[in-house]
Amino acid sequence: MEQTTILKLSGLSKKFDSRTAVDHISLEIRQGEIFGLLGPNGAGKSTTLNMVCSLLKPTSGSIEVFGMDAKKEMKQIKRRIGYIPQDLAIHGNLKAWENVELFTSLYGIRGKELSNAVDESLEFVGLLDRRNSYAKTFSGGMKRRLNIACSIGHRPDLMIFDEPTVGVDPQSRNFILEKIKESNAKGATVIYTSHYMEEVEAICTRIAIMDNGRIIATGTRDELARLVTDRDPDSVSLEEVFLTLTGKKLRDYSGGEG
Amino acid sequence: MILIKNNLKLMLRCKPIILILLCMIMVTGMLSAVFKDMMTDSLELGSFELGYSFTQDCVYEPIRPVLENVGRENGIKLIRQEDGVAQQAIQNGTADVFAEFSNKGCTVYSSDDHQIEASVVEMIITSLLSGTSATQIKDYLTEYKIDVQPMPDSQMYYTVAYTVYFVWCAMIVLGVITSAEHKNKIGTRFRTSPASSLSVYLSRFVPSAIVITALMFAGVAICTALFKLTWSQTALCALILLLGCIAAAALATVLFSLIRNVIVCVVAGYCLLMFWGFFGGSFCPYMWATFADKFRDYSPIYYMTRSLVELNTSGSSELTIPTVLILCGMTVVCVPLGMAAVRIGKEN
Repeated sequence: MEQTTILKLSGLSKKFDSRTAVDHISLEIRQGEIFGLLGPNGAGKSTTLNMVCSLLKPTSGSIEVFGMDAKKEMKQIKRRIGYIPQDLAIHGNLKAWENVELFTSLYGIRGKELSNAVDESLEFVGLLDRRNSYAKTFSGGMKRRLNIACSIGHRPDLMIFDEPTVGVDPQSRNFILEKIKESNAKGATVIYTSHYMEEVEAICTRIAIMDNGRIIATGTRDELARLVTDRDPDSVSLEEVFLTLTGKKLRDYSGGEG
Repeated sequence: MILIKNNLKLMLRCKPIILILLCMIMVTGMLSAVFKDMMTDSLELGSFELGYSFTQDCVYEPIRPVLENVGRENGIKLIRQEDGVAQQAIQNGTADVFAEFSNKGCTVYSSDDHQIEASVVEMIITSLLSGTSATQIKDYLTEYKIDVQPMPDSQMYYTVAYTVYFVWCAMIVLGVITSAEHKNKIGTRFRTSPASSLSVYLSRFVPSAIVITALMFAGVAICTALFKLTWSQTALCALILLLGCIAAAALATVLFSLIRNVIVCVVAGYCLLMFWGFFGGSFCPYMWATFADKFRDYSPIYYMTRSLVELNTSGSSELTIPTVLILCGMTVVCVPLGMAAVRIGKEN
């Protein structure tokens, strides 16, 4: 049975002055996938995700989410997306539950449903017992988990994780990855970007590799491995595939989005 | 509602906000003590001598009995002198202030140490001559009642002046939210959510208005108890102050939503308040001001301060309605501007 397309990008481009950050990419993500978006710094991953979340306006091309045109029905689309930003977006001077309540309420959830959603979200990220603590007193890993809780209170159908494990300890990272898999098992479609190959390898069902604003390869881990070697795919790491496809030259972009 | 509630919590948890209240009380206490003697002196108008002269066939001659009446009521000793001796009279000390009337108008002379008396004389003469032309003056005077405003004591004046001034300074409370949103990159959450610009706008405007109003009423209550002040026309005064708080919150929302950089925003607000305060009687009582009146017209602080002072000293003020209209007008203009600024910020 063919799965429903959750996200469809067609000829999507974004230019910052003379620099093309995203160059006519087309992509389809299906329901139930954990889709990994890989690429070196400045490849265009965050720019692509920012366009999907309406943080940036595309220069050209179209975005369809849940079968709806992003240009026309963004408000409906936003209700069903949970965007977990790369940078922590929480108020240090608010308690954990207040943060989750605040950001969940932005999706129109009120009353008893809201208080249930707050507790569920905090429980999901393992912070229920710290619900009354101020966010500023949390460790880096706890802040990351709270950052996630603030984005999932409205029970999104599509969760977009933009490098959610940057700067966290291995335990917190493992916890976050497990929770992403759990969310996916409950029915959420996930888009995941990271520089950590082993994370992408561990959780993603399909992967796209971006470089210089273009998608240069898409497929499962094994399909990507077969693109670069004739050996048994299990004997090739994702990092090897990635470096073969994108090269070993250092990428240090400045200005514009990554 | 949740946004408003949480932004209110953020403001109230910011301890430096209490500094606004402390500053208001301290400045009021300090200035009212420093200027107590000066303002008391200005009440005792009989302590100086006013020389005056009219040129031959001067059209202003009919105001002489009225001027003498004002002098008598306020204890000013009036000495009529010959025309053309003004400077000599000041130099000789036969008059502290000299008013020289001619068909061109009136020139007031005084020495450096009688500037305040000179301002009082100017104020009286301006009151006498305002709205009249030389040919109309006789008719005008038959109906004119001289109404010299009673002067407030320094504690009442500075409580009013600095309550008004700090109402506008308290705009800074919105900086607590905008800087926290900026620092914590909260804008991303607003932009990726379906929250409307209106709800984001209200989440800034409403808590600011509440906190500014709370600070203002707390300040007034403390100063009233501390300096044993008696307010008259309390309801009207409260209404003007409340409208001032709402207008200040509306203006703050425009400034902080339009200028994303908090420091630039604070500097811009500071410059605006310095201008308004300088011409509005915050630093020097407006009745002693020597600058052109037109500058006052651009200062809501002047309207608020003067109407509140007059309401408390004489029970009424001709500026009450203009003040209410100006504050309501500012709010009406600032609300859509603020909403537009929030929408632009949300989209970009």
